[in-house]
Amino acid sequence: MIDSTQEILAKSTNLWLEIDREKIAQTWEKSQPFSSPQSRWRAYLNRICLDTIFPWLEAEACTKPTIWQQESIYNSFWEFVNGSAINLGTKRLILVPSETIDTSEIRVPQEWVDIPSWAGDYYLAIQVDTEAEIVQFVGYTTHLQLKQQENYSSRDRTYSLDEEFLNQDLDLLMLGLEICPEETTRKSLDSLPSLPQEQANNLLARLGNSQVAFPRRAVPFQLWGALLEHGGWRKILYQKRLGIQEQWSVFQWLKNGISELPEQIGWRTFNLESLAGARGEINTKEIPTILSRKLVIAGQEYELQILASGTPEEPEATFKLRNLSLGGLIPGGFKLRILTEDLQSFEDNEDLATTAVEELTIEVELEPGEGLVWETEPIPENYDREILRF
Amino acid sequence: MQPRQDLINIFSTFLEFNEDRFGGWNSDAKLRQSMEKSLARSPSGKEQAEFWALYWHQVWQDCYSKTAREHLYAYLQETGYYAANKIRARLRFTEYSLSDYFQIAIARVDKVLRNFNSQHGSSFKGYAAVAFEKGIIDELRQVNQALGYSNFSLLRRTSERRLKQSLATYGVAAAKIDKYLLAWDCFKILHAPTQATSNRQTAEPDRETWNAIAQLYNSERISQLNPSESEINAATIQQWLNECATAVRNYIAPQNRSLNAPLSGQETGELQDILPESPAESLLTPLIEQEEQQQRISEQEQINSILTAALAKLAENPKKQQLLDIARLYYGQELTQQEISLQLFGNKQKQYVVSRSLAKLKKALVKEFAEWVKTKLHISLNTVVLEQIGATIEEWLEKCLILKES
Repeated sequence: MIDSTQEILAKSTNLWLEIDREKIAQTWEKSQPFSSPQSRWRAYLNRICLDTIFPWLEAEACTKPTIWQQESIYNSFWEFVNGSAINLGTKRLILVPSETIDTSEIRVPQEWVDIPSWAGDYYLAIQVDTEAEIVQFVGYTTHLQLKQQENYSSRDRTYSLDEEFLNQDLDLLMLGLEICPEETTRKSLDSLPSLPQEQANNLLARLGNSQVAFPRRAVPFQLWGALLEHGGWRKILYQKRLGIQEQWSVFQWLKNGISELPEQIGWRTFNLESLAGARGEINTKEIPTILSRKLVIAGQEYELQILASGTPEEPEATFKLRNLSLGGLIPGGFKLRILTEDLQSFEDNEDLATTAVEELTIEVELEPGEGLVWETEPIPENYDREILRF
Repeated sequence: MQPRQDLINIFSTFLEFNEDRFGGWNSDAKLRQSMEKSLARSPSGKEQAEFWALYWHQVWQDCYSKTAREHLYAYLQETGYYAANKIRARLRFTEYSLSDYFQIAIARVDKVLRNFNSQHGSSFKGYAAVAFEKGIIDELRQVNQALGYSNFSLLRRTSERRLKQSLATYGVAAAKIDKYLLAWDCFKILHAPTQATSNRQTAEPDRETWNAIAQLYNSERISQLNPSESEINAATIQQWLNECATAVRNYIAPQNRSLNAPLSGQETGELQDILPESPAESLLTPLIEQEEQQQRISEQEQINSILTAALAKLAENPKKQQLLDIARLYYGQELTQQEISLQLFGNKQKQYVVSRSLAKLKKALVKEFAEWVKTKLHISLNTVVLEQIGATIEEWLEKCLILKES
């Protein structure tokens, strides 16, 4: 009888899924590059949660789910914050894993609620039990509800909602997305202030020290949120806490090959030698190396190219956006824009396709060591800002 | 147990245990008076308990009334007792008495009050019965898991809400709870697992780690607590965390269940002890209620016919036969998912298949029913409504499949 009691009590009456045992070692391996055991463990739980829930969503959701942000970029989230995001059509689900035995609440870090580009529609509380190798679904709520019920706790900067207020059936959320997608789920948010470069540098220097144990709580949320929302600064902060070398120096890439993180994100180098060689016009002295990465904008593949030229003292760069399909054009209305590190505009920093064109081009003259941020309109899928340093 | 028959008793008496058996009904004078008064004001012919349950639920929703909540608390006594009995027959936990199970069940009343929606023709009692049974199983699952944990594993795996409740129940003052929580945060940062499987038997931090935890606490206390908070040493923080673990264990121990389920006043303490001055004029307007009552009966018939038809349609499809078999075993014969797996597939490994089949059946019926709610009742759908419909469906499945079996 005890056996069957144990069996009954092993699984929640809600949805539960088994963790793929074969993947555990690999997942643990992937979760190593962090500044502390605590953030390593957080990353590990989040990865297990994502890897277990995502296939279920793929099978059950009425639209195809995509993980918001590339996997390699999540390290710069999990170093600081618990949670990950999955887009389902126009809706976003935020997965909030926890390893607590009791399921009395969902506790969502403020970042996932108040940073406008991170916020989601539905927040899912998920219990991860690495020992029983099971992921159990606890319940879900909406952004609107988290914000409405005044559930903010300044102590740990979270929004929490008691279990009594959570919806419990994930299958019925899937049904809801199918038959009542018009449900109001979000409360509108104010955008976070833009940080001047000097202030950002101060914050990066201070919070980049891995001895700061509670970076999330060390400065007012407005500043912290603005720093994290800027993908370029978030990645720098992550690097600093781990003591990793600068990853985003374009001249370093040209000299030593592309650093690890940018390479995982999709940056490649190629030179025109092969093309030129095929046409028999080899002139080895002047073969420029081009940096490129693929972007997906409105379902189509494009390529962002950077040609770095000039000298290290007077660097110059040319940014180009092209359609990757054969003979494909850039549709009218598309924009390519280059900004300073703290997102300021400058003269001639934008190219607009008034009609369909072959490419968008921007040429920039730089100070040595200056950082630039690119962006496009419309925004590419999984866009996360990056600071390219020259 | 002798179920109550008299309407006034049903809404004003509480079940008493005597040596873990039914010991009688305990009357509450204030509730009795309130019920008598309300009954006298209402037109005759309103003697159905379920009608009054819906009425008190409406009052609770409208004015968050403490008295209305207590009436419903009284009303659900038998429901709690039956749920406790049923689960006790399934789970043989020697540590738990019948009254423990009863207390765990009845503690869910507030959740029932919040989530019940009478608009879809669900019965209050039926809804509560399903919620109580689920509530007991989920609660026991958590308690059962916690038993095998060392203090330091338990602390890592307790939610903040549970820890706060435990400390408050243990008698720790609010100002001190903040300090304990910061200590707990520092502990979690510096004593995280260092291998892929987190252990139930996490060892106590060593001296060096205790020192580091104390040091972190001392540096963080200035910004995160009152700057005048005094420094503490490793021994103090060690004592605090052990106290936290004791408080959590104490909170989940079966003998303390009843303490955690206060009859009067909720955790929030925001309930008001007021009732609408004149129920006859506001909610009990005779014509409206009569109409509503009649409408409810016809709605329940409607639901029955919609869902019966939906099940019959499924039965015609040979591919869905297994789905129905599973539902009959689960709702009708009340087998566990493991038992069904064993019976249908010859092993217990297919519990997931059983669990998914039940979820799929529920989803299909909710979809069918939601369409009706939208077009006939003109209720716009959202995920909360779907969840409430889901509860109605489960209640209906239990009722209907049991009837078919017997």
